[in-house]
Amino acid sequence: MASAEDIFCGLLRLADDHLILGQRVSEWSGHAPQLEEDLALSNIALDLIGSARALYQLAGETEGKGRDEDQLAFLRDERAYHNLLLAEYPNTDFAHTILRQFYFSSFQQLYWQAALESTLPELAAIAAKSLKEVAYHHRHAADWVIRLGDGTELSHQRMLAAEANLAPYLGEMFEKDALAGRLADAAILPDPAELQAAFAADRANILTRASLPVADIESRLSGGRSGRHTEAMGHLLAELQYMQHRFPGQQW
Amino acid sequence: MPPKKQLSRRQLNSPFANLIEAMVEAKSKEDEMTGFTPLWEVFVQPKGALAHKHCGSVHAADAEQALQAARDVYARREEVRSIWVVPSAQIIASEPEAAGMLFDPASDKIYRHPSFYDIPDDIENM
Amino acid sequence: MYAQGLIGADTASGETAEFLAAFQARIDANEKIEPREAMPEGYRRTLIRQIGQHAHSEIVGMLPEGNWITRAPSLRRKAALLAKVQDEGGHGLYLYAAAETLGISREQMTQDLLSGKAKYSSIFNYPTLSWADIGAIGWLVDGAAIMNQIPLCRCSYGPYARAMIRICKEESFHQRQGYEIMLTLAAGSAEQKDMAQDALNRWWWPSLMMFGPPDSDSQNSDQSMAWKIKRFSNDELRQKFVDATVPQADRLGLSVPDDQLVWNEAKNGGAGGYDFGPIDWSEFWSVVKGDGPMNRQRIAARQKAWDDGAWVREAALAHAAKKAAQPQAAE
Repeated sequence: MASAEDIFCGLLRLADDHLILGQRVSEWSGHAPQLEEDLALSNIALDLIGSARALYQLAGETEGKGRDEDQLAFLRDERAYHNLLLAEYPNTDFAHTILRQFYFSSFQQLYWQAALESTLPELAAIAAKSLKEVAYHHRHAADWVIRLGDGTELSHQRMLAAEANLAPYLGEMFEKDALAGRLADAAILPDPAELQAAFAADRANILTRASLPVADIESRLSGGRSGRHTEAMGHLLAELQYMQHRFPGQQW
Repeated sequence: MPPKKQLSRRQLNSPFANLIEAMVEAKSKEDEMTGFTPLWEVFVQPKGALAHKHCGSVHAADAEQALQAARDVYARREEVRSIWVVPSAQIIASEPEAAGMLFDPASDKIYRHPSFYDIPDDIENM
Repeated sequence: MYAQGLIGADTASGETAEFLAAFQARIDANEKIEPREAMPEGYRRTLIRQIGQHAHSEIVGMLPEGNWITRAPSLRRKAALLAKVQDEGGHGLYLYAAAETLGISREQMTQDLLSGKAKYSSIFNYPTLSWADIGAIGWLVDGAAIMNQIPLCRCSYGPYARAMIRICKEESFHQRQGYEIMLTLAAGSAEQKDMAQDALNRWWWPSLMMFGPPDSDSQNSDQSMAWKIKRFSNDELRQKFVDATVPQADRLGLSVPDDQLVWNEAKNGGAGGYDFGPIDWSEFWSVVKGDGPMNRQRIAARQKAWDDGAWVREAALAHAAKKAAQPQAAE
């Protein structure tokens, strides 16, 4: 049986994925390779932050302690954030950013598809809305992966580097720990392990079309779900929580 | 792709001929710019029964990118039903100098308008 | 959002008097001029310069506000700020497109910005030091921009006027977003109030400078007015802005940093208006010439985005070329 606490923790994981990745993507604002792409990345970041807000609100209601979206988003210690390590991976360059986006959106599209059947109706509603958004993110990112993998020698090399750096984090998306197991058994959240095969097929298809090699999905680096993050996370939170640290307890 | 040095007749007739010429000229200067991303014209159809309407342009390397850019730029707020993108160089337009010849003759055909015909006021449904 | 009084323009035109008179007659009849139609060289050149400056202002203007996206204090504020900065990018894009109809490429305009040949609104060479600056920019800078831009919706050049209509429509939320931030701060703790006052102190005078040099110093302004590229003088717009903004500052309980500010019944043809203190034009010209607090950093950021993005743009073109060379059956 999944307890209210379980549901809260499961929603928080999902919300944190969206917030942290949204925060990362928003760093591109004003700095993208071309103006059109600047707008595209901002749209993606806005979608991710929008989903995070809906999920934090639902998590807060589930928890029932009166915490609102901002208290959940801003007022936790690093170890209490439960996002995928992939989401916090630094932007690095456009190749890393777009490959990270492709992997996350490929996974998340499958996830939301499955979550349409959630026994938690509020979550099914969020899934229905987010599914349309992530389908576009996926199309946008997959097209770029193909363009960059196939484009020039330089872009190909950059994609190889991005793939080498991000591949170790992929397995974490499909990890089914005890909490994920209880939530899947109660049909509240999808079973992440069940999404791996479809993800692998999508990945192989797009990487092949991008003339990039397809390695096995590794599970070498993980820990985000239990709050063990990478070095990059502290810096990300220092910015995210800057105002809360500098001026505790104020309304903005 | 960046246009070739020779402009086709169709390009010369396009409303963007001056742009294309400028692009070709700039390209031939071999300056330090790294290649031009082509221009596409964007037409958006709002929800409802309206036709597609020109709303601006985007730069994109290929058609799919142009479509996505058009969506990200021109559908941020509007309720959109459909988008068309067309390479700017492919648009064929009437010449401004010919506007008189082409369009003025229509202005005195008043018999094409319903108010040209006298019908008594008590006739209904007409 | 960020039109500034045009800096430097050469409206000289070498066409015959008959041509210029015929063109002027069209303008006087409120006809719109469209891209391929005959136009005086000075008209074209002035428009390219003005639309270019306007577009660059939007793009550079993304940077000072973008500086606070990752630190925005709530998710609602973060989303609003990100959407606003994104709009500025969109508006720059519409404006580049309008200028492109006059025969200059976006690439060329970008190069002119990076080389320093093309100018942009001086306001963006000031730093954003606190969250209150985001409020002050929305309230004052967008407020000033709106004053400047609404008349441009009736500009004689069709593509520019159409771009401005779209921009003005989309921008209606920008100033409100900023003023709401200021209201929240003004109603907050002493620390927040101080932050708001400090932001007003720093942004007030640069906002007044956004309307450009005084009418007595603006060359070529008369020709731009006659061509309906410009519809009100710099000083007229500046006065309108002061008259609209001072009561908004009062409502916030903040004081405008000008000890010569005083209501004058006789102003504006008897309708009343504010007299205000002298503007430090030496500061304005020093910022325009490149010596503002952030000029170098702003251009360096644009240069870096352009340079870092080169391989991406090249790859997209290379991929498109490969695909175009393939037989149609592919895909």
